Amino acid sequence: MHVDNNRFPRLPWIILVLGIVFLAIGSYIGLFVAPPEALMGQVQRIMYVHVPTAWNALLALTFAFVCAVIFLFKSDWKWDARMEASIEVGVVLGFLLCCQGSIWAKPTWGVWWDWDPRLTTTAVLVFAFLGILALRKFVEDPVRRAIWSAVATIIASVDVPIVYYSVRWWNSLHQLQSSPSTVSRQFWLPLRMNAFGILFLMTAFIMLRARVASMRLKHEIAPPPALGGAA
Amino acid sequence: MTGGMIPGGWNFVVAAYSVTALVLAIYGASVIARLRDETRRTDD
Repeated sequence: MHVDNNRFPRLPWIILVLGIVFLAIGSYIGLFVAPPEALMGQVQRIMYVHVPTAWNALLALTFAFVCAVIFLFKSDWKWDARMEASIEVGVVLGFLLCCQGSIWAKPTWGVWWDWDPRLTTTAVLVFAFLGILALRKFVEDPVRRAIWSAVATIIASVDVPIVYYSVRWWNSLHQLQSSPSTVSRQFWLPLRMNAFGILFLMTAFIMLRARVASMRLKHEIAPPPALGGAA
Repeated sequence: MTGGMIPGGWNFVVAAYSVTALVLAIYGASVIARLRDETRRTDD
């Protein structure tokens, strides 16, 4: 029975430090070196944290989907722990994404929030995965909890591509995705530095949180001490 | 509006970066604290 998520004990700490360094340098460039944008002015600097947070929130929840599928096929407990970890990190990044988006929306759109397709689908995504975390809290049997939450994760993950394509499929206040060809070189560097910074932080958080989940699972599914020797 | 550009806005920028740093730091600290608790529990 595989529960272990601790094969490389020092790796998450190295990735965590890398993430902090990348995010610090990227944010410094974004705040003090990059010029203000022609229309949004200084407010555009929020994009250097908002866009990387969005990419990584969607990535974390996509990874949760992958973990759920692998768990259902292989019944390997370490993938259940990884699924729990990536859902939690994805929800935290999703919540942060909504906060940053609100702060950006006020000076640009004139409102803190609007029920536009991108914002609505993102809110649905965050609450759907928050619901799965709640489900995991309330179901005590680890087998049922793992199967139910894996199935729920696969269902909730349908919203991930909907969030991404919502700005193309429907009329939205939110702008379309940028690409390197539509973003000037001066804006690229802080955006990419912060994207890697948050990617490293997200990876480290998932690895560490998966260890916590693995240790809890070990306690839950360990055989009683009397049977332990015979197993 | 001044020449089509949104004037000011530094307060929103500072707020967004502060919220980002705060949320990531608090979540990171909570994960590390839970990891320590579980490690201690496993060692006991």
